[in-house]
Amino acid sequence: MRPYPRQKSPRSLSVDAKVGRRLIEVKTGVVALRSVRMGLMQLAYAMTTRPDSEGFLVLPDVAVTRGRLEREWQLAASVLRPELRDKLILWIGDEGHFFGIPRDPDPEAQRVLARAVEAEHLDAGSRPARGDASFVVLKILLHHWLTDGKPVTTEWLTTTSGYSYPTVASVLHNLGSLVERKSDRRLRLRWFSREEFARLLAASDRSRATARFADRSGQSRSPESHVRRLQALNPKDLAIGGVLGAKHYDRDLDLVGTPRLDLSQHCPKRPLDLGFIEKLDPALERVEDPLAPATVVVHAVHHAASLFSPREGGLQWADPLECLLDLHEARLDVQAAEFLEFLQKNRPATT
Amino acid sequence: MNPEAQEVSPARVLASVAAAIPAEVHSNIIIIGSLAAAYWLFAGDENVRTKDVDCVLSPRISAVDKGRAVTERLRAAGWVHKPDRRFEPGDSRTPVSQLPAVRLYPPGSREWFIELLAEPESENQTDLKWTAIRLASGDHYGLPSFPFTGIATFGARDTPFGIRCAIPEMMALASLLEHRGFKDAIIEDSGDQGRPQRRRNKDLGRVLAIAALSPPESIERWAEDWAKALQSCLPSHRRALAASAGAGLRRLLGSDEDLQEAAVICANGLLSRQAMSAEQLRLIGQRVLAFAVEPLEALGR
Repeated sequence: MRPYPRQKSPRSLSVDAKVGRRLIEVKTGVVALRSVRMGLMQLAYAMTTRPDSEGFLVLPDVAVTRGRLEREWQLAASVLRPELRDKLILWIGDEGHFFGIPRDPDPEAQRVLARAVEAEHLDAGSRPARGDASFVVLKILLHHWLTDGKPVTTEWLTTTSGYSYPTVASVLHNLGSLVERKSDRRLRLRWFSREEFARLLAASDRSRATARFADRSGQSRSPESHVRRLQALNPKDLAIGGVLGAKHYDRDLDLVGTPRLDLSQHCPKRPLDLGFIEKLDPALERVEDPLAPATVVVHAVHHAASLFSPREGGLQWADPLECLLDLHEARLDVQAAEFLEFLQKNRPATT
Repeated sequence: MNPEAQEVSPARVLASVAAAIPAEVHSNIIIIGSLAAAYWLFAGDENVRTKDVDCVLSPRISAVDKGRAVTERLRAAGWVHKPDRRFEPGDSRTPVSQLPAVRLYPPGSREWFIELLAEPESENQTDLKWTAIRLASGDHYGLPSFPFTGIATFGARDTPFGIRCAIPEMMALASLLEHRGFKDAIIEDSGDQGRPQRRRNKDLGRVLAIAALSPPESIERWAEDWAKALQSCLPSHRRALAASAGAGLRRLLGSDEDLQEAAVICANGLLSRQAMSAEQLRLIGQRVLAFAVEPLEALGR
């Protein structure tokens, strides 16, 4: 599934599917009402050219509450002509169930919409994954250097990263003499290169598609209470990183309190799915300014193997390097340096 | 003219009420409304703006006898009837629907008054119902009971004053259930400064205020406690009520005008020390829906 609606030409009035008199627009991964508004208008435009048509805006995994969607519908309904308004329906997915606003479609229409959603998911799954090959391969190499240290095969790297042999080989070539190659063709990093780590940090925000959320209610919930709720919700492919993750690996990390919750989502063949945020706390709102305070931050993990480790009580732990990137991203540079020193000091001995 | 709500100390008012009421009736009194909410949420050390102290006589079966005893004791002690613009105390010929509620000011004060209420007759009661209380003096009063008052008093806890206070989350559920239909009933005497305020906005706004003042994680436990209350108080209707519990709140959150009115009422009540904007209350309301109402609705499906 895509996290954001695809970018269409402003002049495009097309919809995703036309089935009989039904016009269907499917928007996956919607996190903001403006996408809903745009979808409704897009359908309304298309319906004006087909007077007998019915419009369905399908949101299979929307990260907006039902109340806000109903309010948005009321706003739209107040400006639409009655002949359009009465034939427009929002069809909302919620944990495997769908409900309609302002009403459920008839059973036949529901079957048609289910097929449209399925087709959209298949379409999304076939698109190339986002992410940056050099970022992913370097991160895996650094992670392996810190946590294992033994040489690996290129095949292992392709399997772990999810990138093809030529892509991985190209990244390794660019790393030059930093890569130590053994006689049996296995390889590893010669040392933990601070220059390469700095490069990783510089690319981290973009490559991890970091999404930040801040509390807008004035009553921010603690990271620990977010974790407890997440444990109950148990969303798939999610791991705890950041300060909590670093403290899991290094109990002596010098930091009192937890300023924010960093989460890593394993999404090797798709972009971030932020639908769980609305269920985690509806008062969380996405903030685009990377310098603005955030209470929950989500990072995409694009490599094929998550490198997550099991966590007692549910969810998982993000890998140590992910946690290290989180600390830097949160500008906890002192703690990040301390954590890196801990990881280097405790890395397994290798010959 | 309706007087402005005054800031009062929940503990001091509870102590006054308890001291004035016959000790043998203490166990039959449950305080509901803003005062009860403030007592628990402010831990007794902060004032709240309120003008009425709602006292539910529980259980229903003894409500008339206990109500008579309380009313006669208070009147004998100098508590005075709060003038009602429509009705004075009636007599044996007065239709029960026209009898005034027992609303009494303490001696020498107009800061607040107590009002007596009863729990519903049965789980099939669907509207406000009045029951007559006949005093030895010949005066007649009415004892109102609302369909969900039994929910509000469910799990009420003891206070050091000998009388009980309803717990905030149960009062929240009672308000959610009461206002599922989002009806337009107004609050009497509330139109002095413009449009009369809607009862739904006051009560649903209080749900939001209770949520805003409650410990952050407690809201996530409400659904389970609410389900127990429905099972105990309204077993025959529990599924339908659970499934529709959020209908009124959703409409409040979807209406800027109503939410603004709720925010104003909250700022003059439970949230007078912690003013919140309508938008902040909307987000709190969305939390209530996600953390408590939706799990309850799921139990009802």
